[in-house]
Amino acid sequence: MDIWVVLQQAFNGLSVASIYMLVAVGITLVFGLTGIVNFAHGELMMLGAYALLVVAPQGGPVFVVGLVAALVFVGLVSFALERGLFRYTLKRPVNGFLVSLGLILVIQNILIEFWTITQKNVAPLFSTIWRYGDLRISSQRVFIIVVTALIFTAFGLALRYSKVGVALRATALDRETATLMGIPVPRMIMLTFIGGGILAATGGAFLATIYPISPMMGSSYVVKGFAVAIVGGLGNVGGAMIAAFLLGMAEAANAAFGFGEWTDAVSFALMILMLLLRPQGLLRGTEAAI
Amino acid sequence: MSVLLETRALSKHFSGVAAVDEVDLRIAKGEILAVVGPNGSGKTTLFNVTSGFLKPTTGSVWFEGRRIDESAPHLLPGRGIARTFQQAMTFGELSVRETVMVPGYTGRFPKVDVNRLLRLCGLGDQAEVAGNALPYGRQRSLGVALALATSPRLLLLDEPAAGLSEEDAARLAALIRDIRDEGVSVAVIDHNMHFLLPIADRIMVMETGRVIFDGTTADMQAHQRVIDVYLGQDVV
Amino acid sequence: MPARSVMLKGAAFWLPVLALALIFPQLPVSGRSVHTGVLICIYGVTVYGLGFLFGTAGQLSVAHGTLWGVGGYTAALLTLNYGVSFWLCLPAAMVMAALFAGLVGYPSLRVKGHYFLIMTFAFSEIARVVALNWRTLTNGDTGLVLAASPDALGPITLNSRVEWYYFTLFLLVVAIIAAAILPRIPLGRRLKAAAQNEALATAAGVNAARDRVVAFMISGLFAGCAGACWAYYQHFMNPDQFGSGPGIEFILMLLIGGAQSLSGPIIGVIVTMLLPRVFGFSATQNEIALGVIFIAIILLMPKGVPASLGDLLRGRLRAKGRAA
Repeated sequence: MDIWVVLQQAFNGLSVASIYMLVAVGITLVFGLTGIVNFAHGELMMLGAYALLVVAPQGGPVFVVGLVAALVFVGLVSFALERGLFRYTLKRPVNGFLVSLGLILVIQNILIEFWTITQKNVAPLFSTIWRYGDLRISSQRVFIIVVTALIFTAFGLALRYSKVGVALRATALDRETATLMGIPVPRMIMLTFIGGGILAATGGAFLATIYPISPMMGSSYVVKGFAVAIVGGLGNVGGAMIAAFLLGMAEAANAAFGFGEWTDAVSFALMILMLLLRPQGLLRGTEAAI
Repeated sequence: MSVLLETRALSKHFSGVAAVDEVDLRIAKGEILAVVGPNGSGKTTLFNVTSGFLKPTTGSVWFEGRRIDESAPHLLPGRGIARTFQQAMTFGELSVRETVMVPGYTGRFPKVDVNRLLRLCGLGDQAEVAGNALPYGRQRSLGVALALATSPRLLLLDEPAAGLSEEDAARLAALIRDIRDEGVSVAVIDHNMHFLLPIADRIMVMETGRVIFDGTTADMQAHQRVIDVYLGQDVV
Repeated sequence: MPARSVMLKGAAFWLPVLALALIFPQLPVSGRSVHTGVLICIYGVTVYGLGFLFGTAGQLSVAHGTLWGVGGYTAALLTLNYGVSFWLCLPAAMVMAALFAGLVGYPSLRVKGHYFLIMTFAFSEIARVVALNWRTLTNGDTGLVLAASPDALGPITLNSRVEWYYFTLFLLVVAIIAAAILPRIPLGRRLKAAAQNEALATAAGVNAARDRVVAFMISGLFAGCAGACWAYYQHFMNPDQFGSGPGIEFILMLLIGGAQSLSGPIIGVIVTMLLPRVFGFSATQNEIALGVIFIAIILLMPKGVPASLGDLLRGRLRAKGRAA
C-alpha cells in the first residue's frame, strides 16, 4: 500500500473523528448524569445540519452565520425537549430511552415531509485544497479538526476548573450526594442536554460541509456516538475523545484497505470487542463494578 | 473440627484502598461464627468475595478443599454456599412461595419441602403474600428462607437481625441454632450483640479490613483492644 | 385472584375475539381489509416475542425488525438459491434469527441493561448497511423478489389472501399461547426473578446472563417466523425492512397496548395498523402521529393504554361508589 493513501486516510479519519467526538460528548454526559440512553441525540445532529442547509447552503463566509443559527436552533430544541419530555423520565431512565425512540420517528419524518428523503449538499466555508505529493488536504477538514480541538480544549478546561464544570463532574459521579451538597442537579441535567445538543449540532453542521446529508443520517451517527461512548466508558468524556480518535483511525484503516462501504460495521465490531474484553470500557465509566 | 471454608491471605482493593486486607477466615463444620466490626470494616466485602460476587484482588477462597474464588457467583449456591443480603431484598411482586421456589427452577438443588421451610422461618401464614408487601423484618426472614431453599452447607447471613423486633430476633436466633444443629455452618454479620453473643461459637472482629480478634466469647471479654475499638463497655 | 376465575376471565375475552377473527374473512370486507388482517397477524407474532422478552426478562430490544429481516432474507435466499420449500424455510428462518440473536445477545447481555439496548440498535443499523452492500448475496437496495408462492403441504395451500390470513392467524394463536406459557416454565420463572432482583437471583443459583441470552434467542424465533412469512406473502425483501425503524415500530406496538397483559400486544398492533386507515394519513404523517402518541403514552400511561384506561375507569367507579 502507498504511503500517500495511508496519510490521506489518516487525515480524513482525523476529521471524521472530530465529528464523532462532538456527537459522543452529549451521549456520554447525558447517560452519565441521568442514565438515559438517548438515541434521538443523532437527530439533534441532523437538525444542526439541516439548519445550516436552510440558512447557508451556499457556503463561504455565510457558513459562520449558518453555524450560529444551527447552534441556537438546536440549543433551543434541546432545551424544549429536556423541559418538556426528558425531565419527566429521570426517575425511570428506560422511559427516557423510549421517549427518544418516539422522537426519532417524529423528527425524522418531519424532515422527510419538508425536505424529502433525498440527500442534500452544503457548500463548505473553505474550499481550497492543498496538495503535497499525492496527498490532498482539504482546508475545510483542517478547519473542522482545529475548531474541534479548540472546543475540546476549552471544554476540558471548563470541566476541570470552572464552578459549573466541577459541579457537573460531581453530579455525574453521584447524583444523590451532589444534591445533598447543594448542587442544583436538575439545572446541571438541563445544561448537559443543551450543551450536548449544541455540540452535536456543531458536528452536524461540520459533517454537512464534507458529506451529503439526509433525514436518515441520525441513526448511523448515533450508533457511532454510542460506540465511542461505550469504548471510552459511559459517562467518561476523556475516554470518549480517545475512543472517537480510535474509531476514526480504525475506519480510515478499513477504507485504506479497500473496504470503504463496510466502514459503518467497524464501530459495531469495536463495541463487541470491547464488551467481550473490557466490559467496563477502555477507561472506567461512572458506574462501578457493583 | 474440620474446616469447611477457608480464605488464604484474602485481599480486596477498591481503587487502591484495601477493603479487605490479608484476611484468613476459617469456618469449621457445624459452627456459628459471628463477624463484627464497625461500619466500613470490610465485613460485607469479605462476604461478597467469599460468595463469589466479587473477585479477590489477591489471595484465595477454598471450600471443602476446593478453590472457589474463580467460580461464577451463580455456581456457588450449587456447591453448598448460600448467602443473604444486607438490604432487605425480594423478587418484587413474586409471592413468598414463588420466591422460595426460585432455586428449584434452576435444577441445581435437591427438592425442599416449601411449606415446612416457610413455617420454620415464621412465614407459614404469608405464603401467598407478595414479597415486597411484607413488613421489613419479614422480608429478612424471606431472605433466610430463600437461602435455606438451596440446602446449603454454609450459610452467610449479612445483618439478618437489623430492624427485627426483639421477638423476631429471638426466633431468628433459635432458627440459626436449629440450622446449625442440622450440620450447617453459619457465619453471621450483625451489630446487635444481644442477638449474636448467645448463639456464636466463635467471634471474629474486623477493623479497617483486618482481623483484629478471632476467638471465643470469653476470650473476647479479656481482649482490651476489641473493647476499645468497637464493643464499648455496655455490651460486655 | 384465584386461578380458576383468571382462566374464566381469559376465556371470556379470548373466545369471542378468536371467533370474530375466524369469521372475519367471511364477512363482507374488502380484500384490503383481509390484507391488513394478514399483516396484523404477522406483526403480532413478532410483537408477542418482544412482549415475552420485555414482560418476563425485563429487556427491550430495538433489533426485532432486524431479526425479522434475518428471517425474511433467510427464507428468500434459501428459496431463490437452492429451491428450498417454504415449509423448510420457515424453521430455518426461525433458527437463523435465533442464532443472530445469540450472536448479539451473548456479548451484550453479560453486562446489564443499557448495553443491550445500544447493541441491538447498533446491530440493526449495521445489518442494514450489510444488506445494502453485500450485493452478491442480497442484491443491494433493489432487494430480492420472491415470485413463488409456497408449495402445498398436504391440504394446506397458500395462494390467496384468505389462505394466508388463516395460516398467519394460526401462527399468531400459537405465538399467543407460547407467550402465555413461557413465563410459567422454569426459565420464565428464573427470568422474572432475575429481572426483579439480579443479585438475589444469582444467590439462588440463577445464571441470569445465560437465561437472558436464551430469552432473546427465543424471542428471535418469533421474529424469524414472522419475517419468513412476510417475505413470502409480500413477495419481496429489501434493506428498508431491516434497520432500526421497524424495530422501533415493534416497541411502539408493544407498549401502546402494554406488555404486562396477554391481550396488550395484539391491541397495540391493531391500533397501530388501523391508525393510518382511519385518519387517511400518508406514511410519513402516520409515523409522526405514532411517534407523538407513543411519547404521550410513555409519559402519561406507562402501563399501556388499556391498563391505564382500566385504572382510570376503576378510579371513577370507586369515586362514584364513595359518593353514593
